[in-house]
Amino acid sequence: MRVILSIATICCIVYSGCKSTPPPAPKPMPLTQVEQLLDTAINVSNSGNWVAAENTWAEVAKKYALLDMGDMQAIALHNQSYAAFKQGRYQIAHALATEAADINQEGAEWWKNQILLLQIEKIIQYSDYEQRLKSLIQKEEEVQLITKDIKSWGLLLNEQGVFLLEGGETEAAILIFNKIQNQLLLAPDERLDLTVKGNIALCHEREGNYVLAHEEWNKILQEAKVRCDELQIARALQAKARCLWQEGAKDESLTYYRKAVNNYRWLSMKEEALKALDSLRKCYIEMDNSVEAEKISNEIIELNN
Amino acid sequence: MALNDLTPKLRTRMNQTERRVGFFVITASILVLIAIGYYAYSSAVRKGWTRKKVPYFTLVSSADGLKVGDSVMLMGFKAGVITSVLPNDPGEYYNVTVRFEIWEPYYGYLWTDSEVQLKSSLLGGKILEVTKGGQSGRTDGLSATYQEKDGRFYMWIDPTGDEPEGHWSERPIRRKDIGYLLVCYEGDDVMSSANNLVTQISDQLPGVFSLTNQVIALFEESTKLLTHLSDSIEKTYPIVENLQTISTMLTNADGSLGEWVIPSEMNKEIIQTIGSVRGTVNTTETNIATISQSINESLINLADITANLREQVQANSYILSSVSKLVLDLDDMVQGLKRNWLLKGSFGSQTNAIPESLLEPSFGGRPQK
Repeated sequence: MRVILSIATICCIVYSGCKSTPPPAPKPMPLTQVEQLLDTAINVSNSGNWVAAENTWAEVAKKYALLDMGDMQAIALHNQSYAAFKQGRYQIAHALATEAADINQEGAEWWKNQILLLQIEKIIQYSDYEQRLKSLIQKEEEVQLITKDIKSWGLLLNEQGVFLLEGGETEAAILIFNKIQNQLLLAPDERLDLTVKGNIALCHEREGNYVLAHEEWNKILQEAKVRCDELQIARALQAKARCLWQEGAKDESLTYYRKAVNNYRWLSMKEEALKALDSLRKCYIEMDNSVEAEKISNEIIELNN
Repeated sequence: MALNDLTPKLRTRMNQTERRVGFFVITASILVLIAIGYYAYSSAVRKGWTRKKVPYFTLVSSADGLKVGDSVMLMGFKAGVITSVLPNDPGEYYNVTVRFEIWEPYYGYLWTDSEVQLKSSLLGGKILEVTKGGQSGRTDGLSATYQEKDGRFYMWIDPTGDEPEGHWSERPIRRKDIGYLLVCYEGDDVMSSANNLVTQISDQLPGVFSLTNQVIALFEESTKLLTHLSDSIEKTYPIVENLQTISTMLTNADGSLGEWVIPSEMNKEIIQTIGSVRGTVNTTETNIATISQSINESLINLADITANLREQVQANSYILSSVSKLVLDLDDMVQGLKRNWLLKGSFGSQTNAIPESLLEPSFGGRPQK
């Protein structure tokens, strides 16, 4: 009986296993084309080729518009805006992000559009920046964004923290950053976590507590190395250079500045590389090393060209 | 615990469960039997067990690449299978007897002039292919190899020395009969053809080397010719001087014209030069004739090699189409596996990843340096 039962069971399993679902209906050609283009856009964005990314996302947005798929068109426009933002084309980026936000009107993607707009407006020193930030924070509390989209909530609060930090309200900023960190324990996001830690270390630097800031940056550097986060490694190296300079370890500081400059250049982050080079130049001037300062000045000119 | 120890209610419930289990087992067993039966039937159809079939045999030099159960092809269809591959007695001319059966309706295509072709595959196997009858160009004495009467098959007996006329067998064929003999034409296999090709090329190499030697010799002769010409030109200097003297003498209008025109020294020089040039031309002519002959031989050999390759490609056309079909079938199978509920997880997602809006958290603050 057991044998028959086993055979019957095996047969049932084999029979059901042999049965396959019918092939899916073929996708319409325009949809297949836009999906192929979408793959390309994601790949070029992931590789940091922002010129190609902007063009490809523009094409994707156009194709989704032709198919009247508004939600996907808005994502494509947002990403086109982000690619333009990365290239320093802030006005174009602002217009595209606004267009994406107009399509989305509400929802998680709308919050991302708004945060991108905040980041752009902060750089171009747009008059509506502060007003937009305040209204977004107010709206976030009203709709309880933390319960709906914790990632967007974290990003938005980080913007608020950075705003406070830049305004010199470091204590309030640290409170905000700590609030984000507590929530990140529940919904981990590595990049946001490291950035928030970096922002807290910046607060300590702003308060003049370089020893504590240095400790924080050491931890961030180790964590970034473990996560192979190239951008955070470059930031941590530059921050360590600042702290070491303030602590009097000048030679060591110069080494870290040079490392940071190289990393930014290899990451094609020209603006950051130029800022790090300028800091290095100032250090040499303070050390009365005019020869090296001159060399750095030439390097800055070369990089600008 | 014995069944009688249970309460009547529990006993009733257990009886019901047993009945259900029994019903399930019987249903499953019936399903299994049906499945086995269906599998056996489809295998039988695939292997030709349900079809009428007649035996044939052929004689080949080697059993290499042939095995029982291999398909026999006719006009691109699977027309039968090989039933045995047996070595012949040591004294016999042919080494191996291959018996095979041809299924209904393909035996109707096989006439007395049908042949067996042994085609080699690129992977080392061999394919037995029978050709359709009536294509040999013969018109006399052609007959089908079998005829069916009352569900029995009678084999055609070819004419022999004793019986000049062919005829149908008196008794129907039986299972054990060896069947009708089809003559086999064995093509070269790919490896042996490649080997022959390499041998031919290596045979031609000395010819090529000899050709190069002859070209070198020609160059040497040409160099000598040039040297001779150079010498000849040098030797013509006195002639030119003489001509100048003659023209001077002509202007003076004194002396004999014959002495002036061809003095004895100049005559000697001219004869010597012409002889030298003739010798060189003869040598060059001989060398050129030898070279053209060598080139001609090389071209003939090249034509042979190309013809061999062409034959090989023709012989393997069936294999190429089989490989193509195999690739298509494999793709079909993989597509099917991708949709199987048990296996589809192994092939990964088939849909595009949903794109996300790109966004980086801000890293802010204005440090003092």
